[in-house]
Amino acid sequence: MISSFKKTGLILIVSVLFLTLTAPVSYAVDLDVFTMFGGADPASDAYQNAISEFESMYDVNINDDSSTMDDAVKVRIENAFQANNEPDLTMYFTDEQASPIINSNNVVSYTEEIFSEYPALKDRYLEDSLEQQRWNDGNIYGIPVTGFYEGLLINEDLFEKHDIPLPTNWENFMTAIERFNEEDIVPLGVGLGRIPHYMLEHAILVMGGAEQHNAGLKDGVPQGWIDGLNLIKKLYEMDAFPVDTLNMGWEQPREMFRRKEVAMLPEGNWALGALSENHDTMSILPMPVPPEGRGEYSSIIAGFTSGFYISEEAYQDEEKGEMVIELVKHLTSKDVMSDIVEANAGLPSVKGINVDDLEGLSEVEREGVNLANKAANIVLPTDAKISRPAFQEIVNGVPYIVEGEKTAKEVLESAREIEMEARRGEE
Amino acid sequence: MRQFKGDKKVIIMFLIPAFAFIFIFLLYPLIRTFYNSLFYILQNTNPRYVGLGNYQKLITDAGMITAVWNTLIFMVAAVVIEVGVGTLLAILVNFIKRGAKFFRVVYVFPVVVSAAALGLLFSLIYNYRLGLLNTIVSWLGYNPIRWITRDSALWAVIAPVTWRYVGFYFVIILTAITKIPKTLYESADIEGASRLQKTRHITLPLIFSDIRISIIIAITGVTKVFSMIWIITQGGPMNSSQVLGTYLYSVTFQRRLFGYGSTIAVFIVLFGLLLVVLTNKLLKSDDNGGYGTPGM
Repeated sequence: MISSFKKTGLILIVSVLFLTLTAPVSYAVDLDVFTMFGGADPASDAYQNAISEFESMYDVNINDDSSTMDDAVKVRIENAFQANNEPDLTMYFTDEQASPIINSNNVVSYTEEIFSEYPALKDRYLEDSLEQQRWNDGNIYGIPVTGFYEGLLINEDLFEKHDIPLPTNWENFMTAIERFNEEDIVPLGVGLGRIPHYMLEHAILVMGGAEQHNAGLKDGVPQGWIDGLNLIKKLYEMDAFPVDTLNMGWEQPREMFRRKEVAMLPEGNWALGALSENHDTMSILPMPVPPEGRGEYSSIIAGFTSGFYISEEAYQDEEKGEMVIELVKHLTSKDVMSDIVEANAGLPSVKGINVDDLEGLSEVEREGVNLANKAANIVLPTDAKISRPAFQEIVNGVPYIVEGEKTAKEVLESAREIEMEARRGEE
Repeated sequence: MRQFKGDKKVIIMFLIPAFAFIFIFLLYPLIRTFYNSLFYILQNTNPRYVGLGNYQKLITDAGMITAVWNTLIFMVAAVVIEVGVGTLLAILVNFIKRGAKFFRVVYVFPVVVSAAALGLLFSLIYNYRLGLLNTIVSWLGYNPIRWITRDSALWAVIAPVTWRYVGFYFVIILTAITKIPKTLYESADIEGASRLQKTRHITLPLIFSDIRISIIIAITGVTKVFSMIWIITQGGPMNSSQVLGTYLYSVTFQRRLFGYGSTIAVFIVLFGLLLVVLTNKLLKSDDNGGYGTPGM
């Protein structure tokens, strides 16, 4: 009898312990959050620290689904908004790519609703950074964290070693390509077959200038775009790119640059985190302008093209509404923003952050931020100006152009047709 | 239990869960995919009815034509390499008395390794600067070679994909061979038949139905090939290694053309069905090869 009691008691204790340990901890509020600060993103640690800090400040549980961006993740997020299954807070692009998010009518307008209720949130932002988030209808739906810039990353020590002048003008740039080829070093690290994006944007900018770069394709094919693609062909014929550039993405050129097998790398600030061991021997410069180019040296591709979207449902929810705003305030606070800037070397979007005071930034990272601050013109990337299928048509067309199987004009006219078809869909 | 036999209500009740499962996860997506194929859908927003416009585009799309042609080449390669080599290896392994288990494990091993891991492995093998092949070429004193070019890319992806599945068909065929009654071989031995004669007149006729099934699986399997090609070449350079699976992904996920992507998906389904029917018909006429397969 006693033994039976003992057995029952033991089972009860084990059951209670099991239930206690496995029962979900309940929080006052659960928030679903998606950001681009996942995986190998340089700012992922800074972001995770900010989230942990927020969770310790409030009775809240953050279900963080952050991930680095690729096409599959983008489609997942776009579909989540279309299916009314969006996260409470989403960090996503605020340029052309945002149309499925905003057209889903599942996000709150900061300008129409949030800023009037929380004016301090608006006041903390640099005016330019906020203005770049404005959608076609005049509203702001996403507010930025950090901005980006693109430039020509330079392995300065290779230039010094081979006594080659830095590519601060077109003549030096051409000399560098010829001399590095002689030295068996790849002059420009670009994967034209898969990710010609940064080369493409720079080529269009220097050949077309800021105005033509920004024109997009809706009013016709700008001559500057044709010239830009032809410039890539010219560089390809000069053997400026890796031998297997037609079967490369962005990873290999970046790795080759890290291993000092590449002298110059057209990339963005997000690449700097992965190249930290090269920082002491690196610099960043604007792309030089050819004599026939319409661009200005020191014009760069930069801006604020991603931001935080708050879901309408979360904002209207009694419990989540306040909390999601608090989270946005926290993530865009000066302290958290400084940590993120130090991690990803991006452009701060809020007032009061002086990059020269941020000890975590290396010299080349400061150089990059100042490059953007001092730029003659700042333009957004090509894919921020045209629809996704039109941009992909150009990307896919680059190998055909450099191999001489299609002309730049043919590819761009085909892209324009696709662009017009996409825009018909918007009407 | 017997009282339920023939009771339609009971039969329907037991069939409903399976049917619901198939309807929700197979039939409905298929119907929906066909429906979407009649629209222009960019980034899953604002669908615009275009009727058969996407199907007209499909016929003239150069990328699609290349993908279909490459898929057909891939199918021939899959039959010859996957099933052909798998059958050959199974026959050879069946001959040996020692070490058969070792070969079974070795040949089957690639099947259990994930396609993504193998894709990465082969993209490193083909790598121009650090790859295994060019390291060997350098040791031999030659200049490095571009293994993935427009001319070679399709074969560069066919090699690992088909190599991976050789083991799968090897197991199927070997299992079929082991089921052949030993007495047939013993009688052949008494008659003084050589190994080649035994293979030609006993083994092959008796495993023909298994070879036929293997060919059908290999052919239809090619319409699903994706991950290894995507990792190694992404269908390039210049569409040279594009197959139906990679082209579908490229249109849907890179270009975000969901309507046209659905059209390609419908085409893949119909293309797959057509191939199964054709293969069945083609091989059925030769079924048993006139030898007869008693008890198989």
